[in-house]
Amino acid sequence: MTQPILQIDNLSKTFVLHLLGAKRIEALKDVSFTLGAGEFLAVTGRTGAGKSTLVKTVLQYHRPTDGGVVYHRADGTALRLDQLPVIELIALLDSEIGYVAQHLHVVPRVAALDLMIEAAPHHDRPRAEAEARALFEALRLPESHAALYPATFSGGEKQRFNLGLTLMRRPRLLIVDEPTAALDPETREIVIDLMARLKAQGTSTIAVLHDRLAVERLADREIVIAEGRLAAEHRVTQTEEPVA
Amino acid sequence: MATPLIRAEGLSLRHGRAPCADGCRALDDRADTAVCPRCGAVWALRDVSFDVYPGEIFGIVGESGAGKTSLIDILDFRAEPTAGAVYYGGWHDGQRPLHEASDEERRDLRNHALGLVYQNPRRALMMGMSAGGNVIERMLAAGERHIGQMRARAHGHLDHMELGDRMDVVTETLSAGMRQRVQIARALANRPQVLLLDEPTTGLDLSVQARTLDLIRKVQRELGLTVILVTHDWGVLRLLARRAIVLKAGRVVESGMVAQLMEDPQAPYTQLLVSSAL
Repeated sequence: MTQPILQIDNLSKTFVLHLLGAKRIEALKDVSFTLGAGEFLAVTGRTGAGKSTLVKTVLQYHRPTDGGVVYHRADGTALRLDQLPVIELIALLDSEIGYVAQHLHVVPRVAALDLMIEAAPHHDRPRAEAEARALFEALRLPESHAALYPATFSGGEKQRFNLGLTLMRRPRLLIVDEPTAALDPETREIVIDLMARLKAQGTSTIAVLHDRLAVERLADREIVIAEGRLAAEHRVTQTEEPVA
Repeated sequence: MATPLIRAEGLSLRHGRAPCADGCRALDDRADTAVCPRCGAVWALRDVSFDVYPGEIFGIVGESGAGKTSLIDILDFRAEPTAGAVYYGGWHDGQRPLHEASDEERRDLRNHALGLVYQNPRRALMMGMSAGGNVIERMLAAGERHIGQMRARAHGHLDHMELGDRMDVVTETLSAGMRQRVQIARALANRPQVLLLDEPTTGLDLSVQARTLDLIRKVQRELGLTVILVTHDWGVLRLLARRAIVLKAGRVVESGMVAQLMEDPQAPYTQLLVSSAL
């Protein structure tokens, strides 16, 4: 394997629900895996298996109950994300590590293009606008949508826009949760193509996927989560077939 | 790693009768109340610590009575901490506790370093005065005297708040959302480094709320402001802030990344607040 970019060691997460008499829910148990630099890893499994919990625990949106997450920076330094001061973690999540959640949360009343421009890691507005417009095109979002508020977009458009917002930051490590869910076949193809291009450019990716065709088109490796545990791990033979 | 612009260390604020000799240790076992069960002293804040970094929007969350306004009062010099201290990077390089500042230095800090926006605009604005007058009044308090320059700058601040055409309109006649924006323009009058927002959108219609949030965000980015946002609204918090503390009965029950506080609240009180949010 190439140099690792992310190492997950015995990650466990138990939720304690105080409002329900301290009921404990063991959502993740001893999950370990490594993501190589430039690798595309698909996280699959049934609904409720713990896939989203896994990526959110990696990102520290959920506090791990046990285990650790090590992120290797481009300069070779290794950072324990679960031990990093919050202010440094946020800086990392705003730059090198990009997360695309299932749902879009943005400030209302700001035009889509402006939101994208603001997401750029630099302050060169003309350059950011050109990059944002290029992403709009790559995601096949109508040009007329640039001036609209994302709240007025369709579900599929919001999903693509959400991906675009994160891509504006050009993350080294991309973590996406169901990027092709609820998309029609044509739109799904657009998203898969874009993610394939990112992969070709060297972006390391962890993607929670239900979509078998997306797994086969994009993933180098697949881990299957079942009842919070790593149930299987294997290499994926990639297909070049377009999604029907 | 960046240096914090504001540091609060072990802040406590006690009201009422003298405390127990041991500093009301009995309260340590009573997380649900700010009133000492033995002596009856009220601890509006108890051992509150946090750091705010330059250019960030930092959230302070909690229900009524949690101590949010007491915290603002200390930051704005309207209350003296019973124990602990606040340090501000713009004064003696953050090495001296703010409450050691003289009256004159406090006035100077309030006029130049700090802008405060209340939930109720009536607390800050003179309703019979024009919108522009309310902004200019802050400049006069800071020692400016050139009326032409002050008017031009006040117009600029109101324009930022999309109220450039209301410069000479009497504040009383403006809508609630507009008054709130006049208040923000007034808070920005002397280009402060830090903006304290105390429930800035509570009580506003949803569309007005969205517009106000957008303007706060815009002005924060453009001016590079450091913002302390006091709110009980998780929606507002998520849209504006990245880090926050949760206060209950004067104490910090939890702190962290806003996404984590909302997705995986640890403390029973935070779980209650998050699960109660609409």
